[in-house]
Amino acid sequence: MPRRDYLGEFEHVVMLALLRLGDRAYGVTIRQEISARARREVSIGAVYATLERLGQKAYVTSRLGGATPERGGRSKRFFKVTGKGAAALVRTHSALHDMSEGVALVARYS
Amino acid sequence: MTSTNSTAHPPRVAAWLVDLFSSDLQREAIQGDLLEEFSEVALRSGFPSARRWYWKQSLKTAFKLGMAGFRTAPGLIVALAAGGLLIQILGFRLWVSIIAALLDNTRQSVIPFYTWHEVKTHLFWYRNAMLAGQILVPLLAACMVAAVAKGMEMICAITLASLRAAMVLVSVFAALSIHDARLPWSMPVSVCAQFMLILMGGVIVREARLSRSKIRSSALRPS
Repeated sequence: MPRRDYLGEFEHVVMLALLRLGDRAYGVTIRQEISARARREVSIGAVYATLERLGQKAYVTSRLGGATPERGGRSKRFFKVTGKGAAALVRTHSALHDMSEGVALVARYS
Repeated sequence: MTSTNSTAHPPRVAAWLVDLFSSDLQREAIQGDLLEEFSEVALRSGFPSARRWYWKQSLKTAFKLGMAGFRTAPGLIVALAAGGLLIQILGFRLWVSIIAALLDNTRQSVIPFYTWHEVKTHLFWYRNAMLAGQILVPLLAACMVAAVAKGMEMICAITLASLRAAMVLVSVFAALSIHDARLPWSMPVSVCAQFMLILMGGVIVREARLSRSKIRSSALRPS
């Protein structure tokens, strides 16, 4: 069986946040999106550590935005999911879907 | 509103801590993100809350970035730290030999016996030279390791400091269990001091690289 990379749980969450945010995806918005949608408080460091790992796997790319005064003249780094990243996301998603199919999680454990 | 006046800037030490652990590529974006959210929290909940938020975020961020750095090349980091440990042990032996040779060299061949005053002088210089060695050798070993570990200076320094502390503690407890003696009172102080000196070595190299990189990036930025 060929070895295929699957996303880790937090990698999965970050990738979905990137897709939801589109062109507005940078550290602050990613953190806030995860906090609002997944109701999970994460640090900026956790987001960047995951993005760096995803970048090393070529699942995301980044570009520098313009410097703004409210950021003390520092640039934003915008992130985007690559084709390879999207494929890994679909693979992970379908694996999770296949595994959970027929299991009444909500009824049994909520 | 007092929370957003011109003095409302984030804690410098916390920002510096994040700088120590972030890579050159991430540093500017992370500091900008933290500052942006700090301003939002200050507007919403006031400056003291924002400072608390910033400290919490900075500590978590430094820890996460440190752990992520370790996970990228654990073998290399441990190997570098082990190399640093070896440098420290051999370096201290060399230091002791040099000091002993310097103190004894001219005396022994001419006059084989010391007067009491000479013994006291000899011991004074010997003890102080040993103390200087105990400070300088770990610091230099940590600087050398951090200089090799480009981008992972602090992780390597922390690993080296932990290895050194573990080695000293294991050897002392082994010796105590054999000889059934009591732990010397200076032991915890010595372990903590060595730990701090090694960390300081990592900080010195990291700071030097940070300032070089800041100068470079400000030179590249359009005025």
